[in-house]
Amino acid sequence: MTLRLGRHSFADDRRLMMAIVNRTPDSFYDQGATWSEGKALDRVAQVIDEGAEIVDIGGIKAAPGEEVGVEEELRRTVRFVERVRADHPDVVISVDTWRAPVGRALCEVGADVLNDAWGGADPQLVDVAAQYGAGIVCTHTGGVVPRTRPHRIEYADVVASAVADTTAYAERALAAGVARESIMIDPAHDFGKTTQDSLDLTRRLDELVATGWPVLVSLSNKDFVGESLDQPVGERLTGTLAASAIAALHGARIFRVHEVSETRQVVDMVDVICGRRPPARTIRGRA
Amino acid sequence: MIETVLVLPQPPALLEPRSVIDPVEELRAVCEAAVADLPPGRRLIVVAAPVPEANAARGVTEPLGHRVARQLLSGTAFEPHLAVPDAAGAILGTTEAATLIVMADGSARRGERAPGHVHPGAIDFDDALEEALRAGDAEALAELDPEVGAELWCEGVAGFRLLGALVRGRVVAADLVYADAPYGVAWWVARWDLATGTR
Repeated sequence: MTLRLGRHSFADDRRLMMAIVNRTPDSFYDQGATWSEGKALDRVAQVIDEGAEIVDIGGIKAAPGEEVGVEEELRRTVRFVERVRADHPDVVISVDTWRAPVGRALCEVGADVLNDAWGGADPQLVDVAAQYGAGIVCTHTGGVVPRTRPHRIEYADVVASAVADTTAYAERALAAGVARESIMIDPAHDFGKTTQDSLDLTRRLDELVATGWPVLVSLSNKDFVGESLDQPVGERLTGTLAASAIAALHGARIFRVHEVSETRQVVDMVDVICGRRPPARTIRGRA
Repeated sequence: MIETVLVLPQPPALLEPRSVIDPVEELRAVCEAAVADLPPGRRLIVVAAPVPEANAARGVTEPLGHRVARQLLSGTAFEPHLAVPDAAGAILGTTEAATLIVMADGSARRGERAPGHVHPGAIDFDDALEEALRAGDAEALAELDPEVGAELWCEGVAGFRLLGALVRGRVVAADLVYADAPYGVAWWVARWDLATGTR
């Protein structure tokens, strides 16, 4: 299905890179590297240069920490999104928020997608997406409260739970008036999940793809990669890329990433291997 | 009777599937233009070297040259013949005006990066072949040494020898349209128009 993200459309054979841009002082991977507006704008320009179709701008780190209220979240994001919209009219702007009032303010200044990492914690977010013609990412968290870590959370079948919850969320968005081609689902690795849960979701991602909703995966440098390989943050790129390859093989459409070029190459390579795209240039043995 | 001859190379890169960037874009364009320029409606014969033994052992049945010709002719039917010594009789059999396409190229041992690496004799061998194509020298083609060809990874020798044998003695107006070796294999596109009499 063609994907429509705000004013942009993408044919179903396109795989999209969604580059993470944090407007936080404390996110796990970059530790505030783009906390200053100038650094964050540089990051946006860089990831666009590397070929990212989407930037995902977030004002609150996912893990527990200092309370960030609506006012502070707006302060961190509104002016910045406005600036990115002005500087880069052709990029898709996604905003990583679960709060409807924040989503509304960001759509007003040009956001194209609401990336709700917390599985519909604010039921009015879908109405905002519908009102502004924005896309929405419907994630699976197992129903946990935003910004909490999983503790002794258990599923009889995590993949079945992810399929049921994300598709129900997607149907709810559709019923609220969001365009079908603007709704994506995301099993949300590590959110409300153990490492084994995230591994199961990766290995069985085809079951999410089979729902027909475009699948977004957010794997980048996460704990399930770190725990799988016993590697700290900063040493997880190789594991992230391996997981990305499996997700691409299964048919994931959007990859939310810290490293754009590396992920793009991996995804392109998988598509070439699968015969979904031709090699760039082949002459070996054929002269 | 053969009235027109076209010599085309047979790199598999001309076949499908293609990569995003076509590494033989220029060659393909030249070949397609040469084919498009052939007189229409004639008996069309395509000569190709037989499948090499090693590829036949791997299950390949149709000669590469016939597959490349089919690609370049985009659907136009042709009479496939193998470049073997006794093919001449069947090809010359009729008096009907005919076009002969010979799928043949030069040495694949022209340099460090060539498929067959460097052979010191490759360049001189190709230069002589190229001169024969440019001059319409059927005699020189007929006399090519198959053993030297094998040594130099020149799969075209069989086709060139057959061409030489078929048009030996005819008056030839030769036009060498393309000559290059961007990947270490000598490729030529040449057209010979043959007068109907003998010299």
